[in-house]
Amino acid sequence: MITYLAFGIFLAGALVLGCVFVVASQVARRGPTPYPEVAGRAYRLRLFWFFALGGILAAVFLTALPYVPYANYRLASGPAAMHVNVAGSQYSWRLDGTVGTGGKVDFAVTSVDVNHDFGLYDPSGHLVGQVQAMPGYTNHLVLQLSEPGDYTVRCLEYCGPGHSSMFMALHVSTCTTGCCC
Amino acid sequence: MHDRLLLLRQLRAQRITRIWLVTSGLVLLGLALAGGSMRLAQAGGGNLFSADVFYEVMSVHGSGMVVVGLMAGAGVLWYLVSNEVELSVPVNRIVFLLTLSGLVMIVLAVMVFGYSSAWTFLYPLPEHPGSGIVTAAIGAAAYLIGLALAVVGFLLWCLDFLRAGLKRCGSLQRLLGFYVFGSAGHGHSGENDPTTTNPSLIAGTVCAILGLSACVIGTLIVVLMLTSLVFPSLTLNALVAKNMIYFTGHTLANLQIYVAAGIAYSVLPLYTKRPWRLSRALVAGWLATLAIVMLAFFHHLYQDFAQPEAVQWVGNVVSYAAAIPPMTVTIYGGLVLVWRSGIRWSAAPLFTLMAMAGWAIGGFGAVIDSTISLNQLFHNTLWVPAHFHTYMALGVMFFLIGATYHVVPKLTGRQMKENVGRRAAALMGFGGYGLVLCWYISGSMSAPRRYLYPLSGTEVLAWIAVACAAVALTGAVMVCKDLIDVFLDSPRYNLPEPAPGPELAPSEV
Repeated sequence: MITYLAFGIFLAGALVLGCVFVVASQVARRGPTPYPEVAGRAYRLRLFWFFALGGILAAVFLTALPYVPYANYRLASGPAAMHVNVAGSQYSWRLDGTVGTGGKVDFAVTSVDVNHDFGLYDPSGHLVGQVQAMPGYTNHLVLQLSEPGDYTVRCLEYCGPGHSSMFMALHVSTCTTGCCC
Repeated sequence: MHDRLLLLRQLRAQRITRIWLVTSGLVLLGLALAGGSMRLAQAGGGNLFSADVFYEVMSVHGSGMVVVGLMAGAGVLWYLVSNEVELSVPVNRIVFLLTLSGLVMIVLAVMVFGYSSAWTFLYPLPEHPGSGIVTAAIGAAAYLIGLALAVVGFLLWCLDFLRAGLKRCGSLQRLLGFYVFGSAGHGHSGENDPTTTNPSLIAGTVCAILGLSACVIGTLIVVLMLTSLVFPSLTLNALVAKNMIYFTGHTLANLQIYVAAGIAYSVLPLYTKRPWRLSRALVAGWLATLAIVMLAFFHHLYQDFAQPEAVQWVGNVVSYAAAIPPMTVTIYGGLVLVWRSGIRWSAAPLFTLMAMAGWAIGGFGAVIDSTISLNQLFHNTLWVPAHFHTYMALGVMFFLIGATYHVVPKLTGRQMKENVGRRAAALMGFGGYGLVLCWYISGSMSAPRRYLYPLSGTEVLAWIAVACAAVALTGAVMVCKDLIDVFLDSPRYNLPEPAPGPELAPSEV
């Protein structure tokens, strides 16, 4: 799961940052060392830190680039096999269409009242994709579902006091085309 | 005669700052307790509150924290720089009254009229709250008016800050420190030149400019939504409204940490006995921040696929870039300032250093969430409150508490208890990081935010989060109690200290 990997990277980074602050707080007790001496060395190091940080961010940006969720990227390798119309309303979902593992699924998502967010959870309870359901707009979320079973659609945008109860089951079958389910 | 007028102004400045500190401290504590009660209700599966009450508490917690977190910082920064620029005491009083009345309206909207559409009030939710509460429309109107009052209050603060800054420096370029880029300007300490700027003034000026733009757009969207509420036939474009709301909301929430940075520039040097000098990097960092904060809000709309794609990329790049100025200028500069300084870790610098850690760690969590492909899996999960509580609760609030320990002796002539401060720092640090860690883990397990109950598999984490919140809140209560005790035990005014010596002159720090 990519989210666990992201959490692991975050935890490691947070621990490193925490250690930097703890060490700094202890070293700070020593001295006082003349400031120009400390600042001179530290600000020479800063240039290196600036480029290192910029380089890390640029590398992460480029690595993540191919995985963006927008339809033109997801459909670049071929069209969707299944099309599902989704409409959110306080506090229910209406889905027209069938969903299977046999190809890409294009969820065309809108809302009939307020902002919602169509979040699709796999049978083990992990989010596999989401898109906002907005009044006046239709957003296309393209997903390739690899695992058949009972998925859950949850609303992920706060839409009123019934928000937490706005979910429904979605069965995803094993099939090779969109029409065999 | 001039000295007497100056003294009178200083005493008035003390008075209004005392009011800001006590009111903010109590309100922030109340809002934090409200947040804790939400956690408890959520861990208990929604059995403590009904859904209506749960989301009302959520609305008042979020709205109040954004308003008071920003305005408390603005009030403290105002005091810290009030000897360097001629800020207006009457304007500050009006700002306080507007903020307080806005806050009261928001609380009334929620508690009396049942407003529960969150601090984000995404159009058209306030018009269709879905709660079945008959007074919800009145609640929405009262909420929007309350928000507008607070926004106008901050608008006045921004205008007054810019007016006073321009009066001192003569031009916006000088106020922002452009002169450091000139051949003679680098390292200019401004010892003999009263028209020079300093890091706190630059931070305040950038915040004022950003605040002005956010307040103008914020007032506009509030007026449009009020009009739509009164005349339902007038409908707004939901995507445009969302962009306007997040431009305002993100900017005002984000400014909290930048206002707090301005406070740190004033506070930390006095404990390390080292100046926080102007440098080209510092000025460049703040100029970059000025552009970055205006564009970073686009990361809130990554999942709105109808948004032009170029704008999404701008959001990603700018959100990444937002990490660079703090990590290479303010946080890095703070660490350099304390390094081998021989500092004694009293509560004021201790909370300030902890705040910088919260800013850095929370910012790292935010950078991860601002990656478009990861945001697809983290957006509106508990990862989001995890990272913003890291740099708000463990960043902004720690900056404010540190500044409180620094400012209170100047306002009252009494010290807050150092041992209470250090114990509170430990409790709030352990409890706070425990709380956000539970949320980061839950977020990576896809648990949604703003849910009445924990998702299956995250129940234990929800209860651990409650316990950690209780520990952190205990620390917050200790600080507030100490603050109130000191104010109750002190005279109404504290005669100001003589002017500081040249080595600690505010224009140098």
